[in-house]
Order: sequence, then structure tokens, then C-alpha cells
Amino acid sequence: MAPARMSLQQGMTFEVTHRVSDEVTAHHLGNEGFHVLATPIIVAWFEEAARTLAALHLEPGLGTVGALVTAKHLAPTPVGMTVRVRATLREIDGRRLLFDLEARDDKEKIAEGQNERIVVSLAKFRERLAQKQAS
Amino acid sequence: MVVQGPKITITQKTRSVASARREGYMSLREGMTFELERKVTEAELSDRHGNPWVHVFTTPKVVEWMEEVATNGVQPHLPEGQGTAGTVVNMKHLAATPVGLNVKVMAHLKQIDGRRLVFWIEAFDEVEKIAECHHERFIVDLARFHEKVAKKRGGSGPR
Repeated sequence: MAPARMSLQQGMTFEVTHRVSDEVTAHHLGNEGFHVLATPIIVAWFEEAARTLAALHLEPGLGTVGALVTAKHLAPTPVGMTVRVRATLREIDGRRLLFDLEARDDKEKIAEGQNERIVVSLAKFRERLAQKQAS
Repeated sequence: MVVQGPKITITQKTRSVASARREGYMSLREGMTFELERKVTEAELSDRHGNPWVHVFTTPKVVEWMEEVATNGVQPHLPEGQGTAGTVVNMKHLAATPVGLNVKVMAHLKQIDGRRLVFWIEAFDEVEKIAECHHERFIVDLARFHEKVAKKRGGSGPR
């Protein structure tokens, strides 16, 4: 497959914003008593920001899948606050994209991490998946 | 890395949660292993989480299950009023898992460093290993945690 094609360039950024509702708390995910933004949700928002940045610059038929994600959860965020997650494209290495991620709530930086994503042909990806499902 | 050590799923059958609680986290031991096995349903797929056409077990959901195993495994060993908060996730997603497959998640408590708990977590579907993760959690006092969070919200009290 040809290298990830694109208008993607190192240094590009993309930001997503979410309000912290009861549904995204650790308590809601089963960790009783922790009415704060859950780590797996931060991971999901990290991926959303990185994936969307990539998607905006990929040709139709291509997508990205997450290969590696790291997150340091630095501070708790109570329900009701707004969280901004910023993805910065740090590296392009063929089909491999590496993003730096940072999340801030109304008061402070709450998380930082990285997400590595691989550009895939959606048709081929589905084919391989169907093979696994049938095995 | 191979997950080793006693399986807490077995230990718990012979010991009540209440008695484990009385012992405090003295009963928490390095080398303990916690497990979860569950089928991947439509709810865990990437296309439900904003990645259209990628019809597989989504990375954040794998992370969620991994944290769940670690959290629930440790909880019975903590005294009343304490819990754990996730602080670090370093996760490699190695293979895609289609809907309908069973996934087994195993968390190995590698290190207890005061209130800091370090886990090595692996996930397998019916075909292969799909993910591995370095995960850290912190044991916190819930009352104090609530206080801290309330202060951050602007003093409207714990919820």
C-alpha cells in the first residue's frame, strides 16, 4: 500500500470539546463513588481527536486504527466541567501516525499522552476481519 | 510476559469480602491475578464510538475492561471508605477483534508501592492476544477525594 496520502502534515492540531456528564464518570463505569471523569473516557476522547484530525486529511476508503495509546491522568475533573482535548500530529512514518495529546478542564491540565494510529484501507481491513471471524 | 501468581477468583470463593475488608489492604499481595471474561457485543464496536466502518472491539473499550478488572480485583482488599483511581494507562492494541468473540482480560498486580499499584494487563480473544497494558492506580480515601473534587467544583459539596 502506498504511504498514507494526504494533506497530513506534522504539527497539525485538532481539538474536541466535551462536557463531563454523569455518563462519563468512573462511577458510571462501575468504580463506585468516583463521580469524576473516567480514564477510559479520556482515552476515547484522545482517540477521537487524533482520529478526526487524520480523517479530515485522508482520501475516501482509508481510515485509521489505534495501535498504541498512553495516558497519564493528572487530576480529577468533576461533573459539569468542560474538557478540551487537543491532538497534535507529531510524526508521520509511512502509514504510522503519532499524535501528542493533552486534555484540560476549566481549571487545569488533567491528562497527557500519545496515540499511535495506522492508516488502513477499510476494504482490506474488513476482509481480514471477516477471515478471523470465520476461523 | 506470562501472567503468574495465585488467582484471586479462586481465593475469593473461600474468603468473604467482609473479612478481606477487615484485613485492609494487608491482604493485597504482589503477584495476585484478576480475571474477566466477556463476549464482545455491538456496544463495544468502534463504529459506535465515532469510527465509522471499523467494526471491531474499540481501544477505549478494551482499556475500560482492563481498568474494570484491576479496580474490581483490588476493591475487596481495601478497607471501607477507600477506592482506587486510575493514573497511568500505556496500552498496545495488537489485533482486531470482531463482534461475537469472547475476550479474556487478565490483570497481574506487579507491584505495591505504598498507595501506588502497578499492573500488567493482557487481553486475549479466542484466536490471539489482542492487547497488553501497563496500568497504575492509586489507593485513595474517598472522603478526602470528594473534598478535593468539591473544592475544584467550587465548593458545592460532595456528590
